[in-house]
Amino acid sequence: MAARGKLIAVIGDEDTVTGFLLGGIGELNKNRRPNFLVVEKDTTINEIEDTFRQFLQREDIGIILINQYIAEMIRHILDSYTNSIPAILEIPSKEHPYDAAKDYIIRRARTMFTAEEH
Amino acid sequence: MASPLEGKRKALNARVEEGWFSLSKTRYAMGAKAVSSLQYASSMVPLFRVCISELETGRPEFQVVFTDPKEAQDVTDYEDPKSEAPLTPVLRRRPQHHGSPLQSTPPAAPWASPDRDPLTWFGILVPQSLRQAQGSFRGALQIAGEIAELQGRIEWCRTQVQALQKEKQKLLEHTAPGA
Repeated sequence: MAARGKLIAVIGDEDTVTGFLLGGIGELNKNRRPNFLVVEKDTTINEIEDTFRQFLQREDIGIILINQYIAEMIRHILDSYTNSIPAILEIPSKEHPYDAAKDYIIRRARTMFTAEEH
Repeated sequence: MASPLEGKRKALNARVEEGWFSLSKTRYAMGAKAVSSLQYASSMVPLFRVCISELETGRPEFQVVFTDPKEAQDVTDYEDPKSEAPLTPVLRRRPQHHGSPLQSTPPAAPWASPDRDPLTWFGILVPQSLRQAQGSFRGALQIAGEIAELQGRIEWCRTQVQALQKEKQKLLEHTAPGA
């Protein structure tokens, strides 16, 4: 599996997910488990949390792309996440531009340097 | 390390925005509901995968690679090795009758048409803007792999710094009473 590579998962609004699936990352495996989640108005935070945790646990996923405004909803999970695989990338959405100050990696890097200064 | 990440981030965001714009143009040409989650195929095989190698412990390298659709079909079967055998086309092949050419092809599994481009979910003759959208999102995927690697390096550096700080703290504690 490792030689063949891992999947790229995506959690986002319809346009983001549609775009990346159009690019060719989508997979429905034999158990009909997708590697994507379209977050709509009626999608609950619990659903997002559950899907995100499932993606983190799946060994066949290498990168998770997530709209930053959705990442904000489950920020507590991202903040406690310390593994490097799967890598989590916060991406912009149509209505919410990317804000580096909110990105969990950037914030961690900043705290690292401020701690060094003290 | 932060400035290359910033540059890649800008490139990724630009690619994604281009993709959305092209999707919007496609909707203008095909109709608002022609490009939505309703068009997703019932069977999907990934064309892009991430190869991860670890040169140093805790510091992975990510490389996004385009996989051949036919190869990708085999990859989907890896999860459940027990059920893999009956789904393999070679094993499903029936004894061929020379007089009936129609029976010469093995029956296809439900997901055995992965060579179909995701573009075909949206129709046979799709607007150029949809192809542009696909290109933009594919470009974004390549950049996403590079960003993942940079993020991995930042995380690795962070853990190294934390370990060194702990070590420094220990050394200070040892030297303080004697001083």
